[in-house]
Amino acid sequence: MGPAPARNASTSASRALHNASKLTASPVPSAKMTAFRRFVQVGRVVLVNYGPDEGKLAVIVDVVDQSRVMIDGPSDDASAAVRRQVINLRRVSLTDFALKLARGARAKTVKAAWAKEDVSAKWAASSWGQKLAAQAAKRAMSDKDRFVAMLARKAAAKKVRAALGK
Amino acid sequence: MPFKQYEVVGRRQPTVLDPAPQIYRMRLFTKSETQATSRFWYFMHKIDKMKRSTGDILAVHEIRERKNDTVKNYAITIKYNSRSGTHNMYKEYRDTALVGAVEQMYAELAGRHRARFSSIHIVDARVLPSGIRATKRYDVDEDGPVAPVAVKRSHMKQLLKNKIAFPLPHRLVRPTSKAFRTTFKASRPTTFFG
Repeated sequence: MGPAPARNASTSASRALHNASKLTASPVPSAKMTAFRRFVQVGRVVLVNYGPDEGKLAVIVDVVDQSRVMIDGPSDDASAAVRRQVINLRRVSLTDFALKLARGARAKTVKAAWAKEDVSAKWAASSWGQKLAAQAAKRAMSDKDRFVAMLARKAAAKKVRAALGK
Repeated sequence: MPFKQYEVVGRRQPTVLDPAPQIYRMRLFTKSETQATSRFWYFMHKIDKMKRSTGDILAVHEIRERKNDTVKNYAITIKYNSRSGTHNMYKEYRDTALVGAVEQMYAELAGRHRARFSSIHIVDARVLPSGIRATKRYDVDEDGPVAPVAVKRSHMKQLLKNKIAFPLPHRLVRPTSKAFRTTFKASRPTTFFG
């Protein structure tokens, strides 16, 4: 599913190294904080993980206080867009992506920055995005789809057995 | 039920001796119109010799804020009665609406001081400047003899930095819906997410 290095990484150090190469614009505020890679900051792309916008991507446009941020998720597809709102940080997960945004950026600016960084495509290519997409695809399968998958699995297993000479 | 801001206008009933009594206007933070008028008479009674049975409510409006998608700094001055005395307080909050800041104030007073709505009087509730003026240092030559209004509390100032960034060091992954909550977990949860 994910790229090979991520799967093989057994230590957090190698995982951090792998992810660091993927960062777009993620400044590290101070040397003290090097243990952390994702920060609550203006421009940080977040994944909403609870509530009506669950599963959608958005970006932090302002920090209200230590537990709440204002987010905005621009998208031409209405089902993927997140209305500008204040959300509790418990309801979002920070991603590796960050946009260059000024505090309280307007919807138009956010949309432009989102398109420029091509966040949606980068997310779809990331292992996290792929995992969620695979889960969604599996959830959407019909009875027939599952049957076809079963046949495909059996055919593949047969080939493996034949190749192994069993 | 959220707090709302009401504007209540009232006066003493006109009499032969006083055909045009003084009209008063008050801004109140309550949850309903009824509560707002009730609160109006409660405060008027303290200010002047006025009461509901000999007074008129001329108007009650809800004051709504036009734009709710910008974060603002709010200052609230209150007076409250604790179990042992009366205290004045000045509090600052960040929110998108004044009523949100008022809501935060009541929650904080309830939590930290066990003070209820009935023992809190809001003396003043206003918007503080945002942006560079929020934490501007007072300069006599520039600002004149009176210091400009600015954010005072350090817990607020730390949030005003332009390049604010902080990590979330300890997190518990939340199930995506209430239905998926469990009391017991099969494995110890990860709490570090960089």
